[in-house]
Amino acid sequence: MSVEYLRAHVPFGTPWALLGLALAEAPTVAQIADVGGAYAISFTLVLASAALAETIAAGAAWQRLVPALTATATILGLVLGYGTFRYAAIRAAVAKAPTTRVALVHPEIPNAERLNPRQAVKLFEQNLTL
Amino acid sequence: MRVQAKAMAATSGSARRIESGGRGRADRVSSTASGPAWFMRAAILAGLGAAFHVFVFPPFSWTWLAWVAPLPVLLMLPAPSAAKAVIAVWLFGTLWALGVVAPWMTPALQALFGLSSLQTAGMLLLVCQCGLPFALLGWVLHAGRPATPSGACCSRRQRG
Repeated sequence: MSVEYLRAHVPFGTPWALLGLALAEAPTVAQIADVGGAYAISFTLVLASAALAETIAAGAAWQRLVPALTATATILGLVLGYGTFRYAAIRAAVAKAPTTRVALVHPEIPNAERLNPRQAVKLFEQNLTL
Repeated sequence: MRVQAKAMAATSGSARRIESGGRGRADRVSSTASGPAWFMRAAILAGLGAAFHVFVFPPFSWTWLAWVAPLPVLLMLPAPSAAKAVIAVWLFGTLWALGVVAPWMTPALQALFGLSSLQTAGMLLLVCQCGLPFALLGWVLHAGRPATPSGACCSRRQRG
């Protein structure tokens, strides 16, 4: 999580492919993002992997990890519980909310034309016609 | 390395625990401490970890893999020394950066910006800087692990 934050800000700032973004379409887990952003989801995922890695490393002596595994399971349970509660609340709010109609327009202008000042008027008119 | 591990364990009073079959961090280090073998294992895990991270995102979108994607990196550690931990995790970070970025950036740079293959290679070299923060992670994970009885061989005195 810290590394993701670090690489998103230094040296050039490349916030690509944060692990937590992978669960953007898993709404129950993703709800934790309203507490700590995508980094909170990443933390959840790394926590699960760390527990698994420690269990593999411990082998037959895995019993000594019971407190740590219990803590991990508790945190994961809290994340999932919060997500379930929050997602249900959001769905309920959305169901009650008024609706409106929106449209998105993408003119699909080639990069070379988009940055050319001589094309500005033509592109403006093209956008208006859409 | 194995001898050193036993010596260190003895000084901390945990030799019996380590030699009685408790598979802890100490055993992981001592069993993989030989240079080339360790680097080979680390390189495979780095590649595997990077591949997991790539498969998590489109076009593959195997999102379930995100739950275990960091696992190979975590299994790399503890390393025999801080330098090896840094190199191993940096390698993962660099492979990750190239794996995540190169497939879409290469055609985009060439098709949209008209860059030559050489220029594109230069840009991808620049992308490799994304691996640098991971080097720091390797050092932090190495330095921060607890000197528990099962990790007795990895105390600060023995780190290279």
